[in-house]
Amino acid sequence: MLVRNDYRRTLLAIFLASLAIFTTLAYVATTPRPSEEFFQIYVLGEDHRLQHYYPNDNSSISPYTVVRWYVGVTNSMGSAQYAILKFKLGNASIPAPDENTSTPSPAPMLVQYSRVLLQNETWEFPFYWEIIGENQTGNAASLSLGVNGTTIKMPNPITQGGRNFRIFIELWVYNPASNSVEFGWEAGSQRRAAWLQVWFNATTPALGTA
Amino acid sequence: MLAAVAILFIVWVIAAAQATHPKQALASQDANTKFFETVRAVQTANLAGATNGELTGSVEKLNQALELIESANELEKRGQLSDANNAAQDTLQILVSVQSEALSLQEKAQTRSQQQRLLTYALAPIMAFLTVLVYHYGGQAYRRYRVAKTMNMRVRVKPDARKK
Repeated sequence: MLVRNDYRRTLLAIFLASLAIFTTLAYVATTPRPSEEFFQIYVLGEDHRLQHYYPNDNSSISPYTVVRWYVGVTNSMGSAQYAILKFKLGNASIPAPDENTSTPSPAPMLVQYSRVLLQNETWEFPFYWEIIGENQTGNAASLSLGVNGTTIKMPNPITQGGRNFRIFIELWVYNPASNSVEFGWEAGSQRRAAWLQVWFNATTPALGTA
Repeated sequence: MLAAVAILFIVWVIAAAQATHPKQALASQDANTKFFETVRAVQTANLAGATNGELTGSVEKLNQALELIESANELEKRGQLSDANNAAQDTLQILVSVQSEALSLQEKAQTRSQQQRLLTYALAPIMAFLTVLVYHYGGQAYRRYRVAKTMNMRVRVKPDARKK
């Protein structure tokens, strides 16, 4: 009798131990694992590689020379996201975006493109641009650009001799918590931002070789 | 007299502008507000467990709505208010349908994940019971094997033992 009771107790102990183990496994299987939330942005040259960003690899761009880039965004935020890529035209003195304070650049906006992206989706599009005009005041020059077939006059920024222009590409994301589109995104308790810049010089006939 | 007619004309123009502009602006604003509402609905459905495959159609429609909003804004800038209003109304229709799709996907995903959770947790006691059965019957089988092995033992005299 004593032996049988001991055996029953052993069976009960095995049952309880197995129950604890299998419940833990069930919890692990059904609880989503925390993953890093991030966006990735990139700009590629005319051959879809991290090279040949300028025609003939010359960063001095002459008028009506089409510069072909491919810009992409990948969403790894864990859910669908509304993303905006803002292209801004800057010079050497205009502050660049600051990812530490999530402050966008105050440079004037050139153009923007937006899209809703699924989780793990990459959105890539061509960004073809050319200088189609320049306005000069003394040695200072501002540009008119053609971007993907649209003409955009940019009275600002101005550079000396058409040197040191740069195109900023900033990623803005819709934040449902604040119900607004913001520069960067919330990743857990942290704020992150992504931006790129490509420098160029404008070569204009009036200014000579920049 | 001429001045009075001119004033009346100006008043009519202002009144007409006020009568049409707010409506146009309202439709465009509504479309913008609805767009963000719909994005939130899609995100909620996604976080509830709706898969990319389920959400592809909704996201495609959202991007279509986005293009319509942009064209409505462009038309508004050009002063083609009636066309802008039409585009905004089309956008609203698309967004309403996406929102209802997202809601139904959210419910479906929630039900599915609840069922999966319930099934996974229900498996725990079943597996524990199976473990006990395996221990019990496995132990019995092992004991039977040991008994049978013992009972089948035969006495053999070792050749070198005979010499001793």
